[in-house]
Amino acid sequence: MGERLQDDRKQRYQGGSSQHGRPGAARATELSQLFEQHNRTLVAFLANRMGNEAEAKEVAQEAYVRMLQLNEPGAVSFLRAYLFRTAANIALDRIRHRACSERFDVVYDSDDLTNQLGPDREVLARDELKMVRLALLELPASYRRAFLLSRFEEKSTEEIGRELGIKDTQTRLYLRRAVAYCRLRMDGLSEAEAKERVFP
Amino acid sequence: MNPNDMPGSAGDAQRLEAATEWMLRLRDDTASEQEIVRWVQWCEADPRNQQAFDRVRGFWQVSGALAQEVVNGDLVAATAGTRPAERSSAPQEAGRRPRARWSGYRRPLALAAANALVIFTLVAAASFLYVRRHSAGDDDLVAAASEAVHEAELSDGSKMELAAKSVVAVHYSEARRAIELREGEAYFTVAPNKERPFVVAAGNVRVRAVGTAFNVRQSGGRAVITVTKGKVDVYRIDPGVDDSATAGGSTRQQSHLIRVAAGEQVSWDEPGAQDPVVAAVDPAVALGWREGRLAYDNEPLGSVIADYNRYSRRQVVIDSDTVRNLRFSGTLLTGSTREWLRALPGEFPVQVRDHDGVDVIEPLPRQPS
Repeated sequence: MGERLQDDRKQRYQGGSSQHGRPGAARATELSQLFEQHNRTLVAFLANRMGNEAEAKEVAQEAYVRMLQLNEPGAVSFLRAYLFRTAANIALDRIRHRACSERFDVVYDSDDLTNQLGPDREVLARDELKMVRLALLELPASYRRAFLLSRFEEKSTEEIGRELGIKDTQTRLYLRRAVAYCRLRMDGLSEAEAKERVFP
Repeated sequence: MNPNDMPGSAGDAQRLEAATEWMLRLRDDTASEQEIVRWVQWCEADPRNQQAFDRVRGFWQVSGALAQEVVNGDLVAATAGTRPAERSSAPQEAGRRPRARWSGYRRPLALAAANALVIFTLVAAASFLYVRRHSAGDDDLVAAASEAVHEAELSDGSKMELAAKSVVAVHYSEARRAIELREGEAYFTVAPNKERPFVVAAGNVRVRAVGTAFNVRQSGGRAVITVTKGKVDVYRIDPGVDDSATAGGSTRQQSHLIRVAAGEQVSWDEPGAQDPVVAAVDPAVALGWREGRLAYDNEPLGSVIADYNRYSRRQVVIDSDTVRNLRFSGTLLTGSTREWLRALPGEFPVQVRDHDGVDVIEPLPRQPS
């Protein structure tokens, strides 16, 4: 895999589009089927890493275009892994670039948000946030802290475990339950219902 | 539906927990290929799994807006009034501590990014602005989505519009604004700056502009440049020459330099190209792709099909040089590629055959005489 990744980078940074051949017909079809089949999963995968749906779609498209340009045969199972890996690389580059350029380090406040979203969407977003805050406050303190450390301090489960004085498996359980609980509350379950589901 | 599968059921809660485990695992760049594949299988094994994953992600995003309210690893609301002294005297972790309110501070980058992303996502949900517009960085790769015209604004104020499945790499430096059109077609509106030439590379062909607007199409080994405003210099560099350090290559490396003015189009067949062909065109026709109209005048069919393939999911292949060199004059509507293909045998001595889901254009078999 390492070698392929390097190839991928070479292609990207050295450019030279004149060398790109069009892939064979069979391969083009194979790729388009592969893409169609996994596109939704791929976008979810990327959005999870990038935190942005629109950008995830762009990266998925870019990965597809890049694979179309690579004239390499391969079994479908290999191509699938390769598609995700290619996309992950592009996403990583973008995230790094974002960090360097500080493009996202912009100052904004809640008024901007209000102006951009329009009244309906704004109310919806605010209600959702209110529910998330409430749900987190309903959780036992250690569950909430595990989640907040993971979400906002980007700590690993091991680090969180050390901070809270619990085992790694326990930390993971806390995180799973905290997220599931909040999501169920967002979906309209009452505190009692959600607790019954998540803390049997 | 099994009551245990209803959203909000105990089964659903388990699914959300599993999705959370995956979400956290996959956020990590070190997640192995096998893990990713196992997750793909999990998602695709049951649509409810995929939905659970998306729901968990949705929660994660929304929760990002709480960054301002997290102090010492807990929500301000959870600690308010209980331990104020402890809060204010707690040691500040370097660069990690969020502010307690919305404010004009420059916040730690990671948190700012997390928040900005949430907001961008919401904005994208509210309108399609963000999907269609994009700011390209100084060293960025921009790829257009499959159907929509994709607009990108560059850091110097220049703009580019990308056609379907087109890929452009941006390499900006202090001395020069270099753009590489790797695939497809793009229209550039260049912000004037004499000190920093704007150079678009399409294969070995270079287009250099100071302040102008022009369109570059690269397909089937052919580069076609149409100028709509001002003037550009078009030239070739020798294959294998790296001109990235100089402003578009030293004069020694450039050959066949020609100046192209507004209303003119120059086309260059890449392999063994001798002289470029210059013709007068209606720029509005050349830019028709932005409205879904690809207009051609005496264009090699191979190059038309290369465009076709960027707009169609179903791919077309030509396996004969004779067919590839047939000249096409007419319009291809990007919204009705199939119809266009079906009409092709009426205009040329060719037939279209389905070969494993790919359309192959072949010469008509010779009639027995």
